[in-house]
Amino acid sequence: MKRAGKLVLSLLALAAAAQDSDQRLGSYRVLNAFELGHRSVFVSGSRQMYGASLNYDNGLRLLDGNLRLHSGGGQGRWIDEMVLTTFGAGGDPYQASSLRLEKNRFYRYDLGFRIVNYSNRLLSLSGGEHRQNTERIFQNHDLTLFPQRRLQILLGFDRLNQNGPALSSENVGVLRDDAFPRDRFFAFADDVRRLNNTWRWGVNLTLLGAKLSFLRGWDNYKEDTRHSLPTVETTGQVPQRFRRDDPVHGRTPFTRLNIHSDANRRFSLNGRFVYTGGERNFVLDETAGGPQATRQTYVLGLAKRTQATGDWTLALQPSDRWAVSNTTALNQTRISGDSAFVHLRLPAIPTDPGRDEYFFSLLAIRLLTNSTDVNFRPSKTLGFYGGYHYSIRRVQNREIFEEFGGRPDGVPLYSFENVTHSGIGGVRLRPVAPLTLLANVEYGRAGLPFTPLSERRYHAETAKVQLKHKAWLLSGSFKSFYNRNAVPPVIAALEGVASLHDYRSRQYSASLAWTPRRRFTADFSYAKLHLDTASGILNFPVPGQPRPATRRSLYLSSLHHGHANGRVELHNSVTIFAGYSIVKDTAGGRAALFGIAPSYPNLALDQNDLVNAYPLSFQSPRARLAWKLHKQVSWNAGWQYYRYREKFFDAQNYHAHVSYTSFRWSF
Amino acid sequence: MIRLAGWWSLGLLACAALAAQQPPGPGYASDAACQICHPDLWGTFSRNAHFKIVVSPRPVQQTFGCESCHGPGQAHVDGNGDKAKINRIEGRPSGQALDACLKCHSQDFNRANVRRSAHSLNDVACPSCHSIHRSPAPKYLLAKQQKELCYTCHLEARAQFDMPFRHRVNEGVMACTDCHNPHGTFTAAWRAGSRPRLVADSFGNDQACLKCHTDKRGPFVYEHPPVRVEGCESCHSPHGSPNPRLLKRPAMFTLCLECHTGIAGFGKSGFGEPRPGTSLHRLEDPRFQNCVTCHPRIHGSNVDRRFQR
Repeated sequence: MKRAGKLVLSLLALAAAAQDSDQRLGSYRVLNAFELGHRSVFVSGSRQMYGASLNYDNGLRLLDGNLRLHSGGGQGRWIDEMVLTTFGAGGDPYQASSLRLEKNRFYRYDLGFRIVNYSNRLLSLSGGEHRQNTERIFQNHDLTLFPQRRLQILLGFDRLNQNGPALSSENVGVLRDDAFPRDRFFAFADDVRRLNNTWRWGVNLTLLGAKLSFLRGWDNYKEDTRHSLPTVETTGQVPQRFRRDDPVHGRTPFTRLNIHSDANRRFSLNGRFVYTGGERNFVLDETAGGPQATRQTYVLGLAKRTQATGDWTLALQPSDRWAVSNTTALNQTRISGDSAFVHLRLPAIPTDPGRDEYFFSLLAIRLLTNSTDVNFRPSKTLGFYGGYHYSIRRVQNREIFEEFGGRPDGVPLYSFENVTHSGIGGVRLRPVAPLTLLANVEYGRAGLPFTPLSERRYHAETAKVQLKHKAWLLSGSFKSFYNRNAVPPVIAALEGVASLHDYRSRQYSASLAWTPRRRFTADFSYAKLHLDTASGILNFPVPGQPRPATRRSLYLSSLHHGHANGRVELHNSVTIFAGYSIVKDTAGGRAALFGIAPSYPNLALDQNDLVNAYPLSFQSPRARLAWKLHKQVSWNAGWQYYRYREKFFDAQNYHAHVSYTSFRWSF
Repeated sequence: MIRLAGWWSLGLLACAALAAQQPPGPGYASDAACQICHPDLWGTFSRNAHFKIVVSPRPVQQTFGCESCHGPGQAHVDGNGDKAKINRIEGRPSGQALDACLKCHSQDFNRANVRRSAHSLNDVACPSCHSIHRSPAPKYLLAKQQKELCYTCHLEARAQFDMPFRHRVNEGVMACTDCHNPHGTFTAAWRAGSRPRLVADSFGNDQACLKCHTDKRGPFVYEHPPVRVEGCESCHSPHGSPNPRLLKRPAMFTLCLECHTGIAGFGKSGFGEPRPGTSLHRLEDPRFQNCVTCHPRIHGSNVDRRFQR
């Protein structure tokens, strides 16, 4: 809040200084506009849901600010250009400011400053036991020295804070310990404290026509979140006392090198090498106490990750009609970590005497990709492109558990190899200047994908059309993606179960923008995003039955989105804006309501299958009025209404009126 | 590793010298000639970021004011403004627009892949998004506010950002370029095939989400492998979702069970290993339907391989 206040004061001072000299401030030209007003909010229904999706509150705000300063002849003493923008300062949950300072040929400085107040107190995750009301503050500083020279020096600093209260949950149960039954879990309070600082420096160098970019940086991460149990005195509640500290500190150094040259149109190359290290030191100190016993757990360890990435691209353009490029990329990630685990129980029991253990885990991923793309343009109105992409990925995993003084136990080194082939193709057509048509297809096959959701046998199609004619802009697009990932028949036969993940998405959208004159603009759009997936899942294990039952889970979503905006200026002094947007998920539509799976010939629904659908609607009409009281001052009023409705339950429904009134001063 | 980087850079530098840029030839007029016929452009050009070229005491990177982008203009002047005798850039094939802009703007790492980006392949070049002479945006000479610019073609993104749960792009605190690089990207270190496209890396080779969600970045002793292998999109819809936490399903257990099916052939345990990660809970009991209640560290944990603490 203090920071926001200072920002407001700084802006006002700058604005006042600028006003004294009209549009000139010394040798500088000044453009300035800022809007100060009051936001009012009225919410009825679920305040939690409102907080999660909007979170605006009442109060005085600097709703918008824009200050631009340019040296008249481009020869300012220290600054040639200054651009300051800000909005939401003073308490909005979403605030941002940016500043650019530049002196031609000597330096350029960019600052980004953002605050996001995030609230999620919904019941829909973990029964409301995972809540957050945190504030994130982002700072990004970038300084470039000699920005128009062959040698540029780059310096940067980023800072990210996250603070605030949150809830989390844990199952404290231990196998064969009646004092801590395994089916008990509870929520505890977090005091979230996370901090990231990133420093970096680098150079951009142009040498012999090649561009070299080097960047070296360090990211330091610190988390000192403390967890404790809200006061619980209920007899028999397990646990009655709980405290946990698990600080994590670490850093991620990174080095990035890029050399490219594309000034020569006939031949260009591009190479990148990135090495990212990373480690986190951690300690966990946890005490849980119940009416019958106390457990203490200490864990100490170090997690490491190294990631090395290299790319090499060669591009040839033998003529203006042809272009060919080939890229080879290799990425290798190795994540390893160990932790020493000490577990005490008082009083000790024979089934759980306390353990000292050591864990080691390794996850290594190597991904090699090669892609070739060809671009052919036989004429100005027609173009084609195509490509073939090949990826091979190896995932290796090992976990070792060793009881101190005991025999090492664990799993062997698993290795998993996944090869993907995909082809893409596209056509561009511009039969007349204002009309553009694009169509793309992609077809892919993968062997042994990593998860059932991964792409295995897939194809995607995209088509777009855009027509620009005078004041009209008409756009339309279609996208579809279909992926079928079925477990190999051999495994299915062996296991006696079938697994299938069918994913189908289709998106249709169209928009129309009409700007007949400066005083009047209107735009409309409609989109339908359809998604249905069918998965074989193994669930509902029933005691006494030899194996859990296999069921199918069907998810249906059919989202309709529409928006309309209109803006009109009346008599040079009044501007009216009105708009409306709606998102409505009709789930699977009428077919789903009657239990008919849409065109899955091998997946006819039966009564044991799960059908996931969550129909809801979220709509928002809005209006704004700007009335110019003076050539430099206008009065503004705005109103936006939000209505959120779920079809099956009403506990999270809400409607909200968010309005503001403000004065805007500009010159 | 440093030695490897050194050899890599030397090799690249040697090859790059072969692709050296040639200086512009004769036939240039002067900015004064341009101002006579184009006073509307010149009137507000002092606010333009390119004004620094015009007022530079000496040519910057071998450029000469207006003609640094439009090429030699003497023939255009001599031809009484013949449009065919000047490079107007707008409306030309993407390659020609790139040729003009990359003379100065190719030095940046973020534009190293612009010629082979998905945008360039589809004829979306610099003038498609940037208004070089009359930009209403305070920075980057954008033709419109950034999100409106992207929504012009990516119509489905507008719908996604109007969802009840979304990243705050419409609210203005985020921009599309926080996660995407419209000028083209290197091959991603996660997923495979042709995706993801135009997603900006964190640190140069990590997922874009982890730039801000640093607590999920790790490293962790026990990582949830799909996060690293397939990316955050395995479980989340990053633009927007009707479901809390941008999840892809309204009911969490169905999301988890779609992978943890217990069927062999998937997961880090590898092909042939029976039932990796099978759920053995009685899932008709509602308390087992919120998986993260007991597995709260689902993105990764340092102390528990089941992500329970």
